[in-house]
Amino acid sequence: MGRKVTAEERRKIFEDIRQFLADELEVNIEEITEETDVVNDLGGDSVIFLEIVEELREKYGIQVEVRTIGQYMLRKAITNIGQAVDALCEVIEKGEELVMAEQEGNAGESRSS
Amino acid sequence: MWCVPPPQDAAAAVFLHDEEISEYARIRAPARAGLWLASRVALKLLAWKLLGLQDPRCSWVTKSEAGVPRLAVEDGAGVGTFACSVSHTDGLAVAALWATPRRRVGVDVQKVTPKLVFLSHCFVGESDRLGVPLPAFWAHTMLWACKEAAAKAWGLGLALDFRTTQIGGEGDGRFQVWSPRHGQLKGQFSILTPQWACAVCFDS
Repeated sequence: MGRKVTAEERRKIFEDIRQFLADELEVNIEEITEETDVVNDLGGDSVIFLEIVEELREKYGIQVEVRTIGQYMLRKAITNIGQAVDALCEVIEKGEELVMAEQEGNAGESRSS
Repeated sequence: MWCVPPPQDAAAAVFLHDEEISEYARIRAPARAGLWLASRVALKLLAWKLLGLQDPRCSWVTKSEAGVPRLAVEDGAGVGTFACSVSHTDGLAVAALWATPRRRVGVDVQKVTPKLVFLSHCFVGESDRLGVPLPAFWAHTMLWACKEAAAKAWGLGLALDFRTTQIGGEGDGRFQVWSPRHGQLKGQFSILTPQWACAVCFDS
């Protein structure tokens, strides 16, 4: 079970991610907004996502697994930083229950291509 | 594998389908645009070699409902789709294509980095074996490349449980991937000197 994320905490998470990306990808922090696409605009990759998730897990005491966040992000078609922050806030609030509920709701869906 | 040239709109006009040109134009970062273009060029060169594709502008990357990329190829008889995967990082793009319909393939290329040693608790399991002696930075980067290639073949991205997904190397770069939930794949990894680890996974 998670907890409610306040507007101030959401702003802090966004600022943490922004600073992290600016440092790691060596871009001007002013260029990073809620609308920035980490992959297409900044050249980020999966290792960056892994690092961000790990950093936030530690900093905000997030109990869920990387896989859980990955499952949720897979469903939400997240493209920009603002959407990623919203997704992380929802994961913090609802924890493992969020993905379990979605899996039950999509029990008949095939992932094969 | 395709070494990245500077971004060239002329190459885009030769190799890209109309829908891909729109996507290419939306990428704002020049370095990212160059890598994106290089990955498409590599994929279409594979399609020329494996499928006999004559005009690269008659093929384009699309995605299944599950978000898995497919190369659509249009010929006189209609449109066929084939499993494909692309990856790019730090100046290098790679592509993989399976010429048989209804198969899976995933490819990943990673620049060797110590970061993955520090993140190993997120993705390395006790049973993982590459079967080839490598320095720690290389081994962890290669394990990540192998597992990410598998995740892409399964259409999972970071949703794969990387720690319970096992890599079993056979000693010559070939490996098997086992996941309790998703089954088994075969793979091949390569060291691309001086600094890239590359892996491809496919249906066994």
